[in-house]
Amino acid sequence: MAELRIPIIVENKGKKALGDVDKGVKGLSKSFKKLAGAAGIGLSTAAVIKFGKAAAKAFIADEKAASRLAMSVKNLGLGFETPRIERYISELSAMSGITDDQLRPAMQRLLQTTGSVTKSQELLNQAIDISRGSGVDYETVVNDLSSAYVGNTKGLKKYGLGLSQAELKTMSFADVQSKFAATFKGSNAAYLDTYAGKFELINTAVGEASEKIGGALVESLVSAFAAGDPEEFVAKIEGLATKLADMVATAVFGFKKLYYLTSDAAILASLNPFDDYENQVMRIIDSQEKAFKASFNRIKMGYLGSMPIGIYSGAGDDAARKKAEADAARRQKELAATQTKSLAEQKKKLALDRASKTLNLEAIGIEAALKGKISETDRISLLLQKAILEGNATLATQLSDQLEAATKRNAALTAALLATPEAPNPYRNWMPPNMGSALGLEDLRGRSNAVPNFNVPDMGVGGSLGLEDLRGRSAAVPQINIVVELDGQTVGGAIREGQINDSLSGSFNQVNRGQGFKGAVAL
Amino acid sequence: MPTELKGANELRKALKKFSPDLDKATRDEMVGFLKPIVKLARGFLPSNSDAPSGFVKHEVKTAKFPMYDASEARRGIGYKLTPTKPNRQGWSSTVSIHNKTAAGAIVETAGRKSGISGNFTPRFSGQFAGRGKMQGRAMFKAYDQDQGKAKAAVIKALEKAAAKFNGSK
Repeated sequence: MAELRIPIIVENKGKKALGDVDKGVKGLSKSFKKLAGAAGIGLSTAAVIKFGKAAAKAFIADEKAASRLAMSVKNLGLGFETPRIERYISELSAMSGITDDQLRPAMQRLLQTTGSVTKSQELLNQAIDISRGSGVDYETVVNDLSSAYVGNTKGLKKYGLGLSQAELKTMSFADVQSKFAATFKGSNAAYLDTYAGKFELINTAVGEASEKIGGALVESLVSAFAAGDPEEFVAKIEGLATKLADMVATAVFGFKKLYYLTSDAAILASLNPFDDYENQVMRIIDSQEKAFKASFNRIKMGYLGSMPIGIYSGAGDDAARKKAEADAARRQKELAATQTKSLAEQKKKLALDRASKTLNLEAIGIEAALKGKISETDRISLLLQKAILEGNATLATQLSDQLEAATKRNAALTAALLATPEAPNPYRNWMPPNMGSALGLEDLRGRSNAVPNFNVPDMGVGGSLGLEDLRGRSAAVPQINIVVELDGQTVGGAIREGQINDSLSGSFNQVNRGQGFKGAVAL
Repeated sequence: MPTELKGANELRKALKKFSPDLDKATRDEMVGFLKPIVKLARGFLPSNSDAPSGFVKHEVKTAKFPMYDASEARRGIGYKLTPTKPNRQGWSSTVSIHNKTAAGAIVETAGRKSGISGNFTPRFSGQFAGRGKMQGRAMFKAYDQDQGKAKAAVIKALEKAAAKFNGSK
C-alpha cells in the first residue's frame, strides 16, 4: 500500500478492455518465449527444438504463399513487379499489424480482380481501415471489395454504410470507395493507438522474426549437409536414417550374441571340444539379424535375387486397371451427356421465358378490355394496372388519384339516386273535360259515366276511288286485280321456261321439287 | 465516492489532439480547483520534529520500515489529470489526488483500522477526518474539508470543455 489515491472522476473501460490487454500480454509473452527459444535463452533444448520446428513450419507456409503470389503476378504479366509487391507487403504488415500471411492472399485476389498493382495496393490499404472500423475480418473485406470492383455490391450491406440495396446496386465502385473512406478512414490508426493494437503490432513483428529464424534454420541445414541442394539433403537424410537403423539393429543383435556367449550353457560347451554350441548360436542370431534387416529395408520395387518385386503386375491387376479406366471413361461420357441434356433444357427454358416475356398475356388482356364498352372507373382501373405493369410510377400515381376521385363520384351519385323521392303521376290532378255543351248535349251534364259520341270523319278515300256508298260500310273490301309481266310473259311462265332451259343445258332439274319429290336428277 | 463520467478519457484525448488550447484551458481550470486541496493536505503532514522520532529518517537503518521525511512526504502529495491504468474491474481514474510515498501513506492511515493505541499512533498529532476507506489525516482530511466543491468544479470544467469542443466541430 505504497500509494493512496482519491479518484475524483473515474471511467470504467470494462473488463473486456482488460481482457484484451491480458490476451495481448499473454500472446506477446508466448511470442517472446518463442523468440527467446530461438536464441536459446533460458529454455530447454526440447523447447528450442520445438520452436525450431514451429519456426520452420511458419517459414515454409510463408514461402508457399509468397511463391503463389509470385506465380499469380507472373501470370498476369507483371512478374517484374514482384519485388516491389513483396516490399510493400512487408512494410504494410509492420505498419498495420496485419500479418503477411493475410496480406499475400489478399493481394493476390485483388491483383487477379483489378490487374493493377497500384489499385490493389490502394484497396489493400483501405481494406485494413474497413476491417478495423467495422470489425469484419480482413479476408472478408478484401473479398467484398474485389466483388464490388466487378459490380457485385451484395456483400457491402453488412458494413452499415447507410445505403439501401438499390442505392448500392446503382453506385459506381468509385462512389463505394469514397463512401467507405468517409465512414472508416483512420480506423486502423485509432486501433493501433489502443493497447490491443500495439500488442498486435508487436506480435506481428515477433511472428515475422520467427519466420525469418525458421527460414535461416532450413537454409542452414540444407547448406550444411548438402551444399544448398535440398534434394540431396533429403536423400542424405534417408541414407542417414537407414544407416542409423542398421546400427541400432547390429547393436541389439550384438548384445543378444553376448548374452548367449556368456550364458552357462556356452561356458560348459566351451569345455567340451565336441560341442559346437557357440557357432550354432552365432549362426542363428546372424540369420535373425539378416532377416530383420531385410524386413526393415524391404525392397519395394526391384529384384530380390532373381525375383522381381513390384515391377510387374499380374493379369488380374491389368484387368482391374482396364475396368477402372473403362468405368471412368463411361462415367465421363455419361456426365457429358447429362450436361448436354441439361444445357439443352436450360436453353429451351430460356427460349420459353423469352417468348412469354414477348407475349405478356396480362398486357394483352388489359388492352383488349380497354377497347370494350366499360365504365369510367373500370377504364381508369385498367389503365392503372397497365401503368403498374409497365413500371410507370408517375402515371400510376396520377391514375390512382383519378380512380379514387371517380370512385368517390360514383358513390356520391348512387347516394343521390337513392335519396331521390318516387316520381308522382303527372295526370293525378287531371279531370275529364265537360264535352256536353260543346256537342249540344246539355242533358248529359251531371252524368259522369256518359261517353261522348264521335262520328267517323270523312277521310276522302271513298270519294277518290268513286266509292261514295262505302261511307258507314267498314266490312266491305274492294277487289283489285294486278298483272305482272316479265319480257312480255307472265312471271310464272317465265320461271317455268327458265327451269326447262336449265335442265336441257345439263343443270340439275328443279322440276316437280315442290310437289313432294326429294332430291334432284341430272338430265 | 468518485463520480463516473463516461467518455472523459476520450474527451481529454480528443482535446489534446484537436484543440490543444481548449485542453490547456480545461487543464488549468481543473488545476485551479485541485491545487488548494493538495496544498491543504501537505499542510496536514507533520514536520519532522512533530513526527515520532524513530519514524523520522535517520542514519541508523531500521529494517525495511519506511522512514518519514516531511519534505519528501509533502512532495508525494499531488494531483493527476491523466487516466490511470485500469484496475481488475476496469476502473480508471481520469482526475485524481494521490499520496504517493509510503511514509506519507503511513501518516495518513496509521491507526485507522486498529485504533489510536500503543506506542506509535498516539504520537501523530493530526486527527482523522472522513469515513471508511476515505478516512485519513492529510489528503483525505483535506478532501473531506473541501466537501465535494472541487469535484463539482472539475466535472463542470470537463462538461464545459465537452460542450465547447462539440460546438466548435
